[in-house]
Amino acid sequence: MKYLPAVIVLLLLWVGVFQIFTTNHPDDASGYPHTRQELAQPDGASQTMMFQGGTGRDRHMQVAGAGLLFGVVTLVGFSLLIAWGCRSRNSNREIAAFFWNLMVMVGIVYIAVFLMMVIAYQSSWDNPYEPHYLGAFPVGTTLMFLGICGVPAGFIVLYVLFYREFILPEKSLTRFKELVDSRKAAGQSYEDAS
Amino acid sequence: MEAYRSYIVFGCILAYMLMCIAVGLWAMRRTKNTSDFFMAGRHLGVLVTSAAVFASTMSGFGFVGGPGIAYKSGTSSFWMMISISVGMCIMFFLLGKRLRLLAGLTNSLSVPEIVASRYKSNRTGGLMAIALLPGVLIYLAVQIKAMAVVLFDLLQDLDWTSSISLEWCFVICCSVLVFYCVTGGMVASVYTDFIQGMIMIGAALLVFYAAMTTLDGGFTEMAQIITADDPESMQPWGTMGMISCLSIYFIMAFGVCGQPHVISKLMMTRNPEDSRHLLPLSLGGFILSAILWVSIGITMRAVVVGDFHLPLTDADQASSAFLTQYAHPALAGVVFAGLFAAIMSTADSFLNIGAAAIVHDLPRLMFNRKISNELTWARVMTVIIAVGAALIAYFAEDTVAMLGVMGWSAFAIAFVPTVALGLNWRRANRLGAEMSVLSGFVVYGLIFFNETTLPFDFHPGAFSLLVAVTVFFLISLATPPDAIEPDVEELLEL
Repeated sequence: MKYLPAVIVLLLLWVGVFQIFTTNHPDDASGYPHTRQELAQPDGASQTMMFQGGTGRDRHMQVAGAGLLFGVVTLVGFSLLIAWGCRSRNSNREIAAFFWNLMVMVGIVYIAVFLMMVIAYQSSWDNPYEPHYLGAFPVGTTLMFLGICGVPAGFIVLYVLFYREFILPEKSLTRFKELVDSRKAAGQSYEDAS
Repeated sequence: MEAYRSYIVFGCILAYMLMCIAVGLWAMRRTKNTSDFFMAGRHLGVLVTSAAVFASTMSGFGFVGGPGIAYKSGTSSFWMMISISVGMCIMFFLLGKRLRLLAGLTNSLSVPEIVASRYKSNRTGGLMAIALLPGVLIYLAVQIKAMAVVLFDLLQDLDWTSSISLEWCFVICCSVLVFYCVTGGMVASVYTDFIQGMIMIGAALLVFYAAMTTLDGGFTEMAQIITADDPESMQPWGTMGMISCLSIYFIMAFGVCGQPHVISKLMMTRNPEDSRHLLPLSLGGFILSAILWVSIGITMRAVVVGDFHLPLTDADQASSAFLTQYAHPALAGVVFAGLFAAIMSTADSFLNIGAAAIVHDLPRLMFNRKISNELTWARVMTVIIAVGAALIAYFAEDTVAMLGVMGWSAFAIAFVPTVALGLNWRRANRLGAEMSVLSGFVVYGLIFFNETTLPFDFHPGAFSLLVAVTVFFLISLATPPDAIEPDVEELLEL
């Protein structure tokens, strides 16, 4: 039972990959050389130097579901890995519920931002040349920079604030020092090579 | 000022290289044994270690290749960069505490030695050392070649240095790198990393300002120009598309905790609890220095598609073209020094872990022997590895460039399951660890050497890492756990 989250995440990742691999691959799915020859392959260039993306709807429509599944499960997996790293036998049980609620909230925001980015991107399909802007960039791109890159800062805040309660509690540190001392006493530790 | 551009750039790089040599000489007095040479005596402070972590993560690729891919493929390039934020979180949550505690308990000086202690298997640790060596040589070769080529290009602009050949540029770059690595070992490496990191941040912030003022409308105008040319290249998936970007995100983010030159820094702090402050400082430094990647990438694509600048014949010239055309000569000098800093900070880490693998790990783990006078041999081996990597870079440049692309993924396949997951999961066993590395490498090798393109450009490294993690998980669950040292077992639960 305790391995269930890992099993589910791995299974869903493979389902996503299988779906992606079995979806019809449009020609411009991964872009194509820029239509202006002087940009795509200027004189002296040995290979394509600039690509274009083409039509968002055409190249993403069929694979959007599989991509969404793979993306969301990846983010869930990353959040679970981060939560997994908080385990300590000496963690502070009195504030455990509070801490784990905060962890779950950051994880949910992380996934929500990803979904908002996908929605913002898909809403630009109807009028691709005039997308809505948030700051200097189209909404989806800003969410990528500030959201996908920025939300993990929430995990960092929890790491710093709750370090002594959940990452490396005082009891664990004390026990670590005892273990080192007992190794030294037993002469088990690798000798310094000097 | 413009007339002296080449001299200013040359002066900055010369000053930077002299600084590296000075740090090497200073660090020599602090390097008294192999613990100092490989682990900086495990006495590093928070600021120095955090700078070393982010400077090692951001190689020359971030200053040259990253903006080049942004020019080529638009925003797709930025998925490599933004992945590092969650990647560093995963690395610190999974390894920040455990690597440092295990290194302290077992007095381990390298990641393979940690693996041997964790699985109570010298063979597994030895295999890790063996798996590490080709990657170290290839990665190092790529870095040395990048340095030599950049230096060669710069020297061509000066009358009195234009006759210096590419071969001599290899010699100059290698000599500086080897000097401070041999004299000061990891102590010199991390302290130069600290200075290199500060130069990278300074360079990136100055570039950000220069890029923002390139066009009157700043980044908004650039985004509009790019959108008018091709909307997709300014949307979040760029030209490469959703699946390609997500698979890059997967391998880059999950792969951070498998990069030996980065995670080995986590073992060097003075106190185990230092990782609490390392995470925000390391990531903050990385994000600040990565601003250069975004700034130059977007600016160069915008000015070229907007017909303000001639098309580039090589996308990797995006940074140098920007610095030549749009940056003040003094800024260009700082950024070129930053570029050398980015390359060298990665290269010195590889030199160090390569020497540790050959002189320290392999004799102990594979042959159960300890080399006498390890420190001297470590210095000798540092020179040999650097010369070997330089020769590889010089004589097999095409192959090196191709293999260099494999580096990040190869390390991720080898170390993510074995180290990042293994140090957190008592049930993991050595058979699972060894089979995961083997299966991951076989799958990755088959895809890479057959030049197979996966559907929707799904990253082969992401697919292979998924295979390796699945094999690791299933085999470890299906076979009984190994007996390991009781104190190591207890430490995994602390």
